[in-house]
Amino acid sequence: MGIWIRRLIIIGCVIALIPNIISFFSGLTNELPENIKGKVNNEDAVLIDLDRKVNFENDEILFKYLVLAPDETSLIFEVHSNENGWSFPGSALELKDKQGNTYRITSGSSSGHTWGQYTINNYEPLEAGVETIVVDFEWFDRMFQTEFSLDQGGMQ
Amino acid sequence: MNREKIKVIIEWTIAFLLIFIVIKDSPYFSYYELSPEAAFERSERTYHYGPSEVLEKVDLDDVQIFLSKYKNWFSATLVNKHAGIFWGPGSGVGGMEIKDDQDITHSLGGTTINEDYMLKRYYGIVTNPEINKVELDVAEGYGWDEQVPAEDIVTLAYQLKDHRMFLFHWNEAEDNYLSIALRGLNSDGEVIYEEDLR
Repeated sequence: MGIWIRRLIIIGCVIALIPNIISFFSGLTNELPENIKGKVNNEDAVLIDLDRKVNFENDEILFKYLVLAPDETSLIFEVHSNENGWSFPGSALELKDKQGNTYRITSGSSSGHTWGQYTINNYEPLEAGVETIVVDFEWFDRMFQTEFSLDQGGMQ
Repeated sequence: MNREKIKVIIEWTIAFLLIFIVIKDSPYFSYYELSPEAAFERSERTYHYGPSEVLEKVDLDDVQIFLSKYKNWFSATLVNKHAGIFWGPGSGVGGMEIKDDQDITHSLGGTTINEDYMLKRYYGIVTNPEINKVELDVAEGYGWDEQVPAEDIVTLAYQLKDHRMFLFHWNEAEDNYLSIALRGLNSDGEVIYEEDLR
């Protein structure tokens, strides 16, 4: 009798956790989306590794890549939340350069995972000669800024 | 202890560990709260706003409205009842900036609570200290571009309290109101602010 109760519990719980298990493995191999990978492989776009974590209250924002293409700039980041509730307002992230240009967000996409969200924000293409890009976040009375040098691996 | 016993203990351990993970992962544990106040606080915290000062709570059974103020923003945030005993974040979180050069700053919202309840809110904050009553003219069943005869206009009134926020709310599934005008009245009943809302 006991053997069936505990095995039923184990099977039931594993079924309930299937989304977490899938999400865990898909999170391990978080590849670039196909269209961006294609552009980078064809040398139509330049991929810059950002790899920086910003702690913002109960969210961890992990900036992963900046993709520079002639027609648009894509900022790819993950948000890991320590508390469930509203998702991080990623569309409030602005791109600026040191020459005083602000790049408007043109579109974005986000996919939800059990650990948080994976987001791609698309912006207008950067002006020529930009060496440093500033990611600027302003939201009510909260704000943060983080700078990335574009003069690193992958840039010609 | 024989091998069979050890196996039983290991299997039970795994079963209880999994139950613990499933419960901890469930929204009833990680998202919903047992009190509306805690749900309101979670809502603001995860929205990266506040913590607001709650000026007034309006209890409508399945939903509560928190009239609140944070620095120079005001909001009418909903928390929703779930499954009879739980409370979760609802719409309207995140404030609107109070415009100090205007007598009244106002906003509106509409949220479907259930199939019979579409909660419409008309809310705001009064900056002009002369105003002590706010009135909202509405008419049932008219489109925004239709002429409304004076006899069909219904006036809703709100006596201001010390916190200076006001709220008009109705169920659009029952009263399909069109908002027509917003007025601010002084203590003598004179209209000192009027705004056409159409």
